Amino acid sequence: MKWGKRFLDHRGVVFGTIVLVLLLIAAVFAPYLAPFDPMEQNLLDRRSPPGFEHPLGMDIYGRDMLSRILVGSRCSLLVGGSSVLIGLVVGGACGLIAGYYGGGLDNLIMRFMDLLLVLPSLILVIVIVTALGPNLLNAIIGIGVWFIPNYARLARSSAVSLRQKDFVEAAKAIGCKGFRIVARHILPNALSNLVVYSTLSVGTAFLLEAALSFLGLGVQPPNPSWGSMINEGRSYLQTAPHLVTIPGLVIMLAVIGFNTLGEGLRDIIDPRSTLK
Amino acid sequence: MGGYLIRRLLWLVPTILGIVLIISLMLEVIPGDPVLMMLSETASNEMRVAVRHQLGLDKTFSQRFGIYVWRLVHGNLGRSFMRGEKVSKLIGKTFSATVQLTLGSLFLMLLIGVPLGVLSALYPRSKFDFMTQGISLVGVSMPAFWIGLVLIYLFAYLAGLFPLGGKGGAVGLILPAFSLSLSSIGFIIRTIRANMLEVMGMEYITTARSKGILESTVIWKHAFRNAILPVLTVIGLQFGRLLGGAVVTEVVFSWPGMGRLIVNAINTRDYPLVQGAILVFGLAFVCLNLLIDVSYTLLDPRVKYG
Repeated sequence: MKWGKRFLDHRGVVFGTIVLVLLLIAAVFAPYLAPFDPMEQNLLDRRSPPGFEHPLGMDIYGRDMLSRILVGSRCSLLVGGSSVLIGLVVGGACGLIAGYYGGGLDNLIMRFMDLLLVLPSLILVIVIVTALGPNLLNAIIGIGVWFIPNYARLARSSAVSLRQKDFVEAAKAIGCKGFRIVARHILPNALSNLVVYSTLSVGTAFLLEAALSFLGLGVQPPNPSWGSMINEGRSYLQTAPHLVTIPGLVIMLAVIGFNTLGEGLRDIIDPRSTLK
Repeated sequence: MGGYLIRRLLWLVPTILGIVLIISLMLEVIPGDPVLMMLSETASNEMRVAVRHQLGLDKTFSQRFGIYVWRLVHGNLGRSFMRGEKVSKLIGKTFSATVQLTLGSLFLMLLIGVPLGVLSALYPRSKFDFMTQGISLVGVSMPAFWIGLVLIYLFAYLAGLFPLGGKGGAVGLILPAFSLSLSSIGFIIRTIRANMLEVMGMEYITTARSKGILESTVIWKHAFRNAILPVLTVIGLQFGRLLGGAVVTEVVFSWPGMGRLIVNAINTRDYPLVQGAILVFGLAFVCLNLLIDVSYTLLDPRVKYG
């Protein structure tokens, strides 16, 4: 198959897919994969460095770091996936409608989106999450709300260029209603761009979630999340640097995976964007 | 040009009103009462009513919004509920630290990112290009606060080259600004490389070369000047990201900026302080983007202002 070969030939796509699969396995099977109970405290072994029994060491309460990283992947994936879904569905729908219908409706929707983009990303998310109360659900809402205007802009620009295509004219000519045209003719053609952007924005969501948890605005203790693990270990940077370095490396690896996957998909879908 | 500028400046008014309205609505719906936070639990009911009246919280939403806008027109951001000081004074004390950090990072982004991007476009697929691409991928994929901590460990603890935190002059700015700028460096390397490659493939470059012009002249006068324009847009985008990211980096480096001010203000439901701080953030962002759009029209005669 031509497509299959193109996917396999692209190093970034292969690497990204491997990272994604590993993350999914870690998240789904975390309780079975984790060698120890991620909540069990072992106060005698607090902050002990990576060793034979505990490959990634112990955290500030003597909990196994590897187990907490594995379970923490659930939180990252949940926040990443759900917030991107919010942005994709709400923002994508608004953008397609604005771009297809144009005129006053377009102006109304997009000016509102502009207002959401007036604040720097992290500030908007922090304001929403602190206001609603710091927990996992509100972190998802906060990050999702920030995604909405970005998806709306992308979807709108696709819809504006597709609106003038012949197949849309043809659909109009046989009497299709506006909603049907947007859903059946515009959306499928705009989808590839949206999918590429979604893959890339999962990485962004991971970074935002980590920053929120680091500020204590994400997942609440004792539940593990990669960002909050860094926050907990921060005070012991000098004596036990593994508390900070290991979760950070895991975040970085996951984000690199989503970034290479997204860029690889873009190369494959739109070869013009690849520069020789 | 003059008409364009005036129209853009006039647009600032509804934008500012929009920011104020959204923040006010958000503060309206969030749970938590500033009066309960200010007074002890044993405070009498009369006292609560009195404080509520004093803060103006007994008025309706539209009345309070009107008063806020009226004061804003007169340059008055109100007083902090909790600290009693003027909001403008509290912001003035911290805003310059945040701006220093953000501008420092922007400077590092241009200083490091632009040359790396140009060089890797001049030698595509070379070892240098491969390495630069790797750096930029890692740069955009790292949490800025985490690399900040790692840099503190390496250069402040182990090497003892930099202060551990706080605002210690120009040297103290290096680590926080660098850790904040890494993702922007990664971003600008990609933009410059892609633009440079695109421009280098254009026909006028072939023409210039065929005329026998020095290769360095072709690269710097013909290609670079055209490839550098989109960098303006990148600066605008990155400025917003850096301002937001500065909030977390400030916490890592105990940098006395607006980040902690905002988080504290929201936690204590200090409405005037939240409104003022976010308004200043939004305004800085909007003004910079306006400046960039205007300079675009000045630098590139092909861009029509309309």
